[in-house]
Amino acid sequence: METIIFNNEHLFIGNFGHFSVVLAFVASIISAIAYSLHVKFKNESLRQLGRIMFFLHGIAVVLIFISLFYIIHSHYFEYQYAYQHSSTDLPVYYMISCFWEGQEGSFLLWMFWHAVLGVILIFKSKDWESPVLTVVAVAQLILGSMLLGFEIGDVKIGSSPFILARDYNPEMLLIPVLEKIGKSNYLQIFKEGNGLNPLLQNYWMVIHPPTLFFGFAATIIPFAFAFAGLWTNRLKEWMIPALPWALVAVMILGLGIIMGGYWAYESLSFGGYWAWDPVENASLMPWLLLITATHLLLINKSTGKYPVLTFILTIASFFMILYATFLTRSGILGNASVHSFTDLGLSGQLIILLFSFIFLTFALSFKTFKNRLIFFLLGFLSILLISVIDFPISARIQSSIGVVVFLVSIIWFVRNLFKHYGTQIETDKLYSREFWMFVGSMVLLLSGLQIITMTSIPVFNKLFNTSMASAGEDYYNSVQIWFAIPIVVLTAVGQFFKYKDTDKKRVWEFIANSLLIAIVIAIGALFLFNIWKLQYLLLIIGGTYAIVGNTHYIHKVLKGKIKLAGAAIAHAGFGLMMIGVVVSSVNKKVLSVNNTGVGYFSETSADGKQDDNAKTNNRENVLLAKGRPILFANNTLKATYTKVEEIAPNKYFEVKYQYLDKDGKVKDEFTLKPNVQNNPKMGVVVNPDTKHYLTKDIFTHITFESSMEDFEEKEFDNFKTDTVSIGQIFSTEDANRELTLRKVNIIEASDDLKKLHLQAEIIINTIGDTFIAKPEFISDNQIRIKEAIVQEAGVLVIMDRIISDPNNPNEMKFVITSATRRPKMDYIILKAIEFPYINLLWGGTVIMIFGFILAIIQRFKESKRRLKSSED
Amino acid sequence: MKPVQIVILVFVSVAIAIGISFYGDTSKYVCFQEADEIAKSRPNLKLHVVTTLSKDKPSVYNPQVDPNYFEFYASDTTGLERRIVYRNAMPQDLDKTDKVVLIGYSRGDYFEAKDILKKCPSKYEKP
Repeated sequence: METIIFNNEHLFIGNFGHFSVVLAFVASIISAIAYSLHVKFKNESLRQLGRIMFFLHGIAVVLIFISLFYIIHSHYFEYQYAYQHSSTDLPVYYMISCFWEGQEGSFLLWMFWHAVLGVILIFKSKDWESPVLTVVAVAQLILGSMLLGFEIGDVKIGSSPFILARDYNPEMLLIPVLEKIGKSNYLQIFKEGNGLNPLLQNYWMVIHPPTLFFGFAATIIPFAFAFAGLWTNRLKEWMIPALPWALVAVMILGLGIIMGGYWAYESLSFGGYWAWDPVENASLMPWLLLITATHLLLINKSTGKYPVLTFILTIASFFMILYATFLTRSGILGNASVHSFTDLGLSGQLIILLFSFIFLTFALSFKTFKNRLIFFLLGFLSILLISVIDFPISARIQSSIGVVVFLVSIIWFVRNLFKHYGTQIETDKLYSREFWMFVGSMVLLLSGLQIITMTSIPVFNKLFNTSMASAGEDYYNSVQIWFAIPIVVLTAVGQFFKYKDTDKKRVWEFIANSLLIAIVIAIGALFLFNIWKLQYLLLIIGGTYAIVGNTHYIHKVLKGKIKLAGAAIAHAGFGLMMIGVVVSSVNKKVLSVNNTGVGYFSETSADGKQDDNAKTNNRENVLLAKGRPILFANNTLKATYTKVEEIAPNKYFEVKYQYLDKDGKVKDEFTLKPNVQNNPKMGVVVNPDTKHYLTKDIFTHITFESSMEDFEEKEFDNFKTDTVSIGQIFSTEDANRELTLRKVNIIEASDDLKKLHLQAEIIINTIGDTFIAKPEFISDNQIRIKEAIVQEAGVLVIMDRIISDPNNPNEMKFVITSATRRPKMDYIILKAIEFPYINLLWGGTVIMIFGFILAIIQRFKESKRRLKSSED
Repeated sequence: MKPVQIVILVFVSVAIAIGISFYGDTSKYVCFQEADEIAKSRPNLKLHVVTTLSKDKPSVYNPQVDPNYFEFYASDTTGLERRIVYRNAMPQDLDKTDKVVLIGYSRGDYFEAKDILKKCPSKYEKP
């Protein structure tokens, strides 16, 4: 085989990056082993080794990041990652976004946050360090293996972000051009990358993924504490340090999810912030389980109740993160989601990751090392065998066996947990806070279970060879609202109870007072929003009650001490969010309702037959021809497409909106610039534009524009000849265009009129628009005529002859031939939506996050105090 | 009964109800022929059909006549071809994909798509 020496490649940085990957991987293995041995043998030097190796691992992860960024920033397109995800025209801040366009970069981001959190835990977790860091290091070694890119025979372990494009796709060296300049100079051709998806070129896409992955990463901490508690037999103590971290994870994951929604709202054209797409649900499932676990941790802190459920939900929320990663990254969602992520052939590795964590935790519930090992090997290996190898039995039976093995393992695990914690019969009093918190937690759990079940449909299909389709938006909305109502109500009710027991009279007084105020306010709000459907009405009352009740609580019980009011503020914010969700979606109004009726298909199908189904016609897209305004919303809003600005590959269409009062006078106006990008590599991408008012948003996006049409130039027909004098009005054959001969310019005329050059100015009036055509007549030795075509009006005019009346030499007549065809219009098809009071949703989010921050500070202080007192 | 037991009872019954509704409400992936059968008894049940676009047949979108009417042809996994009516603006980049999932109803001689699921435009396409 010939060896080619390739010119101009920058191989050092890639090798360095790959070396860092291997270093990070090896360091995490040593760290995990050293830490876990320290748990058993308590030898201080082992802990030191674990620490040093984890620091080394952290440094290596940062070096991977720097190497990859350097490659993207320097436009080294010999690397597949840079070639596939970036281009030379990207500004620096979007180069960061290139990281998370690919799967390897996403895993890297996740690892980075784990490393950061791991280092913090080394300093902060005291005697929990070794078992907790073991868990983090194991997670790191598994994630690190995803970046290795080793191939052993047919088995590929991980996918390296530092692979060269020519290794990734050897065929690129076979293109004919390279025959001339030589394969070794291939980089002279590959000077530009594929670029970043235009949809990701949005400022929210710079910060949404890091936040979401930070949230993903943070869920490992409560899990690691639970795991450590089981491992070192500190069955309840783990909950104290886990609580504040659970709150951190819930807050950041929640923030990441909402940022994703806001990004979708700002830059996608489906007109909303949440569509219950499996990928969105995948991030919501762990969040719901973790928020439930957090509430149970709180109950436990004060009363020590429900330890088994607390344990299960804490670890389940972390497993849900892994499961979500499997769902979104393995390609199993296939037909169910509009999002697509590449399957790098890692689904096997993801399954191993998921089940190894699950079975490690399950195995720990046994007391002796031997039992742990037997259980782990039996359970893990059988699941692995069943999910990886095809046995010569029907797929359905094989899957069923796998599911049964898994269920038995779960039951065994739960039985072990009950053994450890002892089965106590919970005796909650009705008048206690823990009871109502428990009720609320169960509702949260149900909401989560419903989403998990429905989102897992593609998995069920795969397992049991069925063909169930995923549920749509409406289904989720109609079910989830019934969970949301009790949750918002309970956020306020729960506050007025004390742990263990409460004075009945006092509670009822509080509840009744705040409920009364809330109902009065809510009725006002209902009239304002004009929403009267039962479930929406209940959610608005409930949301208002959450705000009023929690405010009341801060005022009366906490005496305005903001530092302690974290939970109450977060709950009030959640109430406000829910009101925002209801109002902005129930009252969401499509402004661009098409009722022009011009040539409208309405109740006939394409072949002209009567079609009742056509009554369900969507009329939400409107044609806006340039310069021709259309009235929306009962003639109160005038929309005009004024101009288009082209900054390749983007086209910005300026749409002027004017609010009119009753007399048609302009009250208020603004301009939106939705754009269409015709990206040569990625096709047409549309970006909406939104005007934000305090009480509403006007959202606009373009669904089509005239240059996308395959305009077929037909021949002109309908020829008609008129003899007209200056100032005369006439029309084309089909009478749709009105013509006026305004004047005739003499460009050149000899005295004997042998030489004559005339230019007519003909005004063309179409419906609502005016154009001017200038046909010419030249008589030299012979007669030449220059026709004039106005594409936008679809009109051709010719000045054929000039007739001078011998009786009246000053009065000239002109013979004008006109013809028509379908005009080539400059237009956009536009959809405009009004989202009323959507700021309640965003405002509620900000308040909720603020509440979380207060709660986190409070719980960290408290946990520090408690850890100290337990050490004394 | 103790309050906690009642809560657990309610929890379990709602969970079972969700499970049952899960079987009742989920729509199915079908082919056009099955869609025709189902439409006879349950005309309002939304169905999912995995299809391949028929690129050789012309699609119709005349925004100047009606911006909310788009028509094209697609064939299901059994190879049966159908006219598809989508009463909405023409989706972007339909020509860039081959497979789309149609969600809607069989109307006899055509399939009325309420939603067309296509993948994000070549976001992660191999070069």
